[in-house]
Amino acid sequence: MVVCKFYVQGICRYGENCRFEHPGSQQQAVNYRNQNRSWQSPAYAASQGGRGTFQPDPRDLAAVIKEDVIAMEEGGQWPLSCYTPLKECPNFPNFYDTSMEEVRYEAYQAQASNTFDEYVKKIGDLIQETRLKWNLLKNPTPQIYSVIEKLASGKTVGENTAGPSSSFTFKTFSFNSPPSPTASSTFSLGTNPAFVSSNPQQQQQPPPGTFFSTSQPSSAASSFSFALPQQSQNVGSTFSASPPSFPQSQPVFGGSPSGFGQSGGLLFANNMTSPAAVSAALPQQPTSAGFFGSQPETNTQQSIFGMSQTPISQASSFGTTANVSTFEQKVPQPVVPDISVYTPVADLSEAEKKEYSAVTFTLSSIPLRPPARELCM
Amino acid sequence: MFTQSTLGATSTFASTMNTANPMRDFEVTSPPEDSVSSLAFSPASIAQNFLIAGSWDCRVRCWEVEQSGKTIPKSMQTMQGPILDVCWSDDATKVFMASCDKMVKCWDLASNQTIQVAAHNAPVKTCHWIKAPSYSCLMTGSWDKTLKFWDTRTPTPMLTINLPERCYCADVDYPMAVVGTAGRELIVYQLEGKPQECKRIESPLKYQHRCVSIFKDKKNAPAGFALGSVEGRVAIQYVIPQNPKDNFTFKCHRSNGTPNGYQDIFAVNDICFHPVHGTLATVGSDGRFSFWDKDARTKLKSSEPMEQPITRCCFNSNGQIFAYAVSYDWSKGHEFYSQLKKNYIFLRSCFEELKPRSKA
Repeated sequence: MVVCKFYVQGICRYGENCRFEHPGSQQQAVNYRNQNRSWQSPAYAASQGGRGTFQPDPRDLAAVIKEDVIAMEEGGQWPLSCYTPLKECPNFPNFYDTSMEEVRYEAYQAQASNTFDEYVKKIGDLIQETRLKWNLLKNPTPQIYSVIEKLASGKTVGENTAGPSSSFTFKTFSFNSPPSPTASSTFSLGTNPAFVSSNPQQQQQPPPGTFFSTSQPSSAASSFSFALPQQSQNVGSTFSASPPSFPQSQPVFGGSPSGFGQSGGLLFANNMTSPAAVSAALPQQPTSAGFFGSQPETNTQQSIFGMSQTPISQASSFGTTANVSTFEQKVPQPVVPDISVYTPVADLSEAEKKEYSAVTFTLSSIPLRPPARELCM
Repeated sequence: MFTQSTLGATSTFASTMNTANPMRDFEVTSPPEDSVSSLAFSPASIAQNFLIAGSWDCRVRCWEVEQSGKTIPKSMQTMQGPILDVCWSDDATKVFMASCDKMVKCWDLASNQTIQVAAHNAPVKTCHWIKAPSYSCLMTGSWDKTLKFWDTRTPTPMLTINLPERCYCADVDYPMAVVGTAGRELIVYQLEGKPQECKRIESPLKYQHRCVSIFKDKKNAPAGFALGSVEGRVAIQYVIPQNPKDNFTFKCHRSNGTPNGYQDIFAVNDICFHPVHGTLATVGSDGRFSFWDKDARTKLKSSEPMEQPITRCCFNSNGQIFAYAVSYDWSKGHEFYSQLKKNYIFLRSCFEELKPRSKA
């Protein structure tokens, strides 16, 4: 579906009956999404062609971006992602990937080093900062709009994938040395003046309940039930017991049943057709009551992660210790705001500040000077 | 869309029974005690089916799967960090385990011993065994932005290839390998003679890469790959498309429209191609698996939702068994993680369900 150029300019005469897309128009948006056809999408059809063969109007692209961001926010999609409005095109600057596994491992490390509260705060800050960046895409500032114009013309915009500001760094670790629990990962909350408001209170709040929901009033740390090591149960015994409830009936997975019952000698040292035979076949584990569990190394540790529980101070460095400074120097600043278009906030009169802070202008007292940058965000 | 409408409708007892196992599949006994990060069936070189699963509890478990659907726990190994990936050697004598402790260990099943075979400067996200006519090696991809190839007998890699970003997903089907990284990078490698970069592909997806799986053409040679992202979307991409229209993307793992007109969007956690039919399965954070025919561009089946997301899936070597792991994937952050929720691995007899759509 192609975005209607006339609608974007506010002059489409066809309204809801237009055969082109009116992004943001409630009626059409509902229609498209309710189609729920797996193989097509308006946003993707609009971005067919990719770089070089297709040069969308920046206004169309801004509309596509707005639709993408709204769908992402409303859909509860994983927000710590890079993004491009056009497939096969460069990434939109200042959006970086952090995977679920990276965040999770960060949490496990924090738990192991008793710094989980710091993790909760840092991941919360990262999510909040990312939400603000997404939010700004919906109502682009002139700076962001200039980025959109560049993307529309097929240019690579500033940095692309280098130096993610919200990523992880890992200390080097040499082969054959004992695994150290000091692997310090860092959420460096690199900030960019083009995107980060100095006054978050004025930002629209993230949609509730979509991600890292605040609907659970209890403290996040306490609801995170790491504190209960469930490993004390005798895993070995459950494993060595053969569940008798399964019928030994005909094969359900098809194929020739001849494979079953053959010698397992290829895989394991002995022919193991019964669990009892298996335990006999594993003399290397004198302490083990069964097959799973009872590893000597896990016996000595109460930690869920099998890592040292010794609190290591640097493991908690979520961007607060010295190793962050080298990292932040690499934070790219692709979009430098043109300060000259703004009026310094100190130069504005109280009446002007009030007007710019209000939801709507009062007709008789619209300021003539440009607003301060802080009041635009 | 097909749904099994008979489930849970008969009695309250049946519905409570079915919430954990709505598809009424075979449950693997003694499942991992934390989320399952990786699953793999033994290769076709042995007659039996063995299933291995790596998990966030730092352990890798091995079961024998009988034709009856019964699973027998065989053995277990522990590493120093959560497991992120597992794979088999081609002769099914060894299992490789990639961990957050920055190592990959080789587990020799006959002796039940492990030995370190690879190291990175950051957690190792992927490991794949490469069996070439002239060499065999282990390929490991890490968040340290490198791809390494290991002889497994020497402590230094045969080859190290720098990646533009952290490795998020990879797949190998000799002579092709594909790696998806952070920052929407996609690189295809050719493995003949010596692994080398073959092609960088502009990502057909707009958000973070999450899983990739190679598919074959009619001549049984690797032809392209399916790429899944956090945006509930899969791209079918040919390395050398005969026609630009051969490449396409499709939405999956989304809810049907909510009252405000927007779909809930879930991550695609894993993609697997059926070894016989060439159709594919996807699993997602929405707790569903779906079967697809990419050539007919249709959905073959969609499951009922599980209690938790499905993190990984795999087929056994002859395509009779579909295994899927139900456990939390961190897609909604730590607030939605509960260690009290049981993790499941289910086995489904799937050969018929994955037959391609007949050309009627």
